[in-house]
Amino acid sequence: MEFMKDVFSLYFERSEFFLTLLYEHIIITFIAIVIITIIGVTSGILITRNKVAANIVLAATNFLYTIPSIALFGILVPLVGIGDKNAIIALSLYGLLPIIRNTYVGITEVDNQIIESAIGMGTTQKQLLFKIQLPLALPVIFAGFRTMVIMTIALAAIAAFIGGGGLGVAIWRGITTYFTEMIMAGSLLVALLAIVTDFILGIIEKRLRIRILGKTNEGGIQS
Amino acid sequence: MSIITFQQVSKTYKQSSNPVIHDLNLSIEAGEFITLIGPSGCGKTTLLKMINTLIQPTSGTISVQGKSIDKWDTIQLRRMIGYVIQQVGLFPHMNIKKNITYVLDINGEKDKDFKDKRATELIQFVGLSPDLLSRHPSQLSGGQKQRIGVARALAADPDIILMDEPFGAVDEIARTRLQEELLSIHRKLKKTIIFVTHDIGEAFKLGTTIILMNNGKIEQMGTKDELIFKPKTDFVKQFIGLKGFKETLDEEALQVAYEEMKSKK
Repeated sequence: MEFMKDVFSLYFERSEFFLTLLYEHIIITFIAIVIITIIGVTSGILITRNKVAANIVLAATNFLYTIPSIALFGILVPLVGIGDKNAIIALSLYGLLPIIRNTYVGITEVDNQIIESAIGMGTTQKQLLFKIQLPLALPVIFAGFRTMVIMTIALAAIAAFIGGGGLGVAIWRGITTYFTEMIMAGSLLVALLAIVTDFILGIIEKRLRIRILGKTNEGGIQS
Repeated sequence: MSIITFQQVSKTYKQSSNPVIHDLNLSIEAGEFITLIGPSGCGKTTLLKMINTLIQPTSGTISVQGKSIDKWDTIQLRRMIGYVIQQVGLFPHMNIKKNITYVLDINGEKDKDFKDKRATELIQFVGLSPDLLSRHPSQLSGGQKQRIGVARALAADPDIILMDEPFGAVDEIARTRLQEELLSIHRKLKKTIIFVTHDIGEAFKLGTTIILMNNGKIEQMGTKDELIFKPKTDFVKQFIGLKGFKETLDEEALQVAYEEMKSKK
């Protein structure tokens, strides 16, 4: 109890320090999320056109996922140096898998009857993608987006180990100085940021399902 | 005038050595209600899908409105042909109004008032309340979905409507009602309808002309009485007779057909 009291006193005493780190954490995460979403959704769409490409891209992103995060940050140091840039690149590589996979699965699992019906009525390939496939895949893509965002928020804490900013700085300084209250203060903020974001994204996801499918549907695309 | 013609059309799928459609010749007149019937795998759905180019023939020529389908712009051709399938294929992310006016949308129709008016007009035409226009497909019953499917097929006022077992998944009562309504729509609008079914009763009830297929060929094409009273092959006799058309055709219809035959003689 005393320990937690010290942690909260730390927040009040060093509020500016923690707010700066929180701001940096949000910025690094946000940039990575934008990059992941653009590259991930585009790649997910493109690989639906070619099964071989899909297998290669999904295998490559799966492989990236298996590399320990700290090792990936380390591998990137000689290539891009230390700092936020390295952190953003590593976070972007990590976050690709859920977005690419969910975009691919979301599009390819749209009911064939719906696709046939749309094509039979004279829908062009572009209209099919933007009017039928993407809107119907959106709940699945968004579920991947939600996973990716939470993962990126948590992973961004490690960015401090290679000179990046964010709440990882508090954790890292706490570790190097045996300042456990500082480690806890940094970790709690990362967890809080992840929980609040997940809660907000959960509400958006639910509304999206209702708007798109007319009801909540946890089981995926309905026919 | 023939609105659709097939000349020596064959279709063999890559994975099969046997043609699913074999050297088929067919001429469909404008305004006819054609029902396509035959055993599973006889090629009736393939024949239907070749009209809107969802399936390409291996050889032969298919013409729509006197022009070979190779010379039509595929997208344009499909937009002028209504298409209804068994599972209806309504778009679950669009409300009913957007579903009905979908063809108008993809055709670039921007006039919102026109689209609203058309959706209201069509939903009433198929016997449903305009209150349903704001609902999603998941909020409708099977029969209502089928009606919306028909309304959607009529949205662009096509001359031809293709229907692939559209009432196969609805209950008997709803199916009978839908059949009556479709007949009424055909009488009012005089569209050329090509309707695939595996139900003999349905084929005989709806079709002005019935095409009975077997092994990728037309066994017989003709009116209800021609198939009943002048079956051309043993297959026709067997398909109609042994499959129990007495159960699927009511006695009254049979009597009317018989009286008509007698009066023609």
